[in-house]
Amino acid sequence: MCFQKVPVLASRAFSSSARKLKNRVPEAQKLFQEDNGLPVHLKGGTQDVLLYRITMTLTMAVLRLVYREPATLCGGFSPPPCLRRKHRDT
Amino acid sequence: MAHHSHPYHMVDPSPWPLTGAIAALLMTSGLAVWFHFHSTSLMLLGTILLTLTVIQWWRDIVREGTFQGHHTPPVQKGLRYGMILFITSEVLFFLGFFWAFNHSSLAPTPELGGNWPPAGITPLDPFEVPLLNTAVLLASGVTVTWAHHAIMEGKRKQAIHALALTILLGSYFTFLQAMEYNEAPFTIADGVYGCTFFVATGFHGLHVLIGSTFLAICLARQIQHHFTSEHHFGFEAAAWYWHFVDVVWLFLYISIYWWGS
Repeated sequence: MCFQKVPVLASRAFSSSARKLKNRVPEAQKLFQEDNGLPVHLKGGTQDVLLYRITMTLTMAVLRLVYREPATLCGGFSPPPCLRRKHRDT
Repeated sequence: MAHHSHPYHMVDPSPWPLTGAIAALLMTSGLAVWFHFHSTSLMLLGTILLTLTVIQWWRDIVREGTFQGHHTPPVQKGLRYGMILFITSEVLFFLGFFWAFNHSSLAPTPELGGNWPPAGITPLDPFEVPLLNTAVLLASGVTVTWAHHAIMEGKRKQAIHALALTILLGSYFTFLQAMEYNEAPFTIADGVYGCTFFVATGFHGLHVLIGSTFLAICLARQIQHHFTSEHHFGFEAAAWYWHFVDVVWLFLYISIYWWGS
């Protein structure tokens, strides 16, 4: 069914998709200039917040993991006694 | 919005410098862990976090410039200085590897047989694939300049075509170089010849990948009407970077591939 469109698609100019793409810059300008007090990294909406939370959570989680349990990321290696913390927090 | 008595852009508070710094720490520590303990998990996690950071950071810069109008002429001047200084630092980075090559090749030691190339090394023929690679990169320098003129003249379709062709040529270079790497009769472990060859050309290849990515983002932005005939600094920065990559290759070709054979 969709193979019937192949000759049409093959003969259509490469940039015709690009040509027909609507200019969404004015919409984006309106969104990002809205006076809502949001910083630019969250001003795009829910997707921004989700991506930020994923990034920050992952960053802190890995940092904590490496600091607390270096052996888990070193294939089981533990630091020698002279490098271990004397009074570990629980 | 705050009004300042200076023309510079005071950015919104951002978490990306923090996540980027931590990601770089995890990536480099992960590199050391890989070398000593054969585990790639930490390095992989660091790279993922760095990728997430740069995507969001540069996305925000596009928003600040194209959608919020913060990249006024004085601000743009600062961005230009910044890109020029960054490329200069990259030039110095490559200078170190060229120094290493020249140190070993201009006065070859008795251990190498007193010759360059060293005894036992079969260098690549500079007039085969390396020469094709040179032509490919030079052609891509022409197409990126064509794209620039098309943007400045408001010729949207031509700009898209020229930019796409530039990226295609860059990918062709990467493909050819990957084939060469696979078929080379020497490895990185083959003494100082192999070491200087693969480290210098390897880092160049990495920069070709970075430059191609930068151009691809510019292509997406051009398609989405971000660039105007007067204001398209993101593209100019990508074009400068691409010309730098081209020039580094010319030095590599003449010194390592041609003179070094």
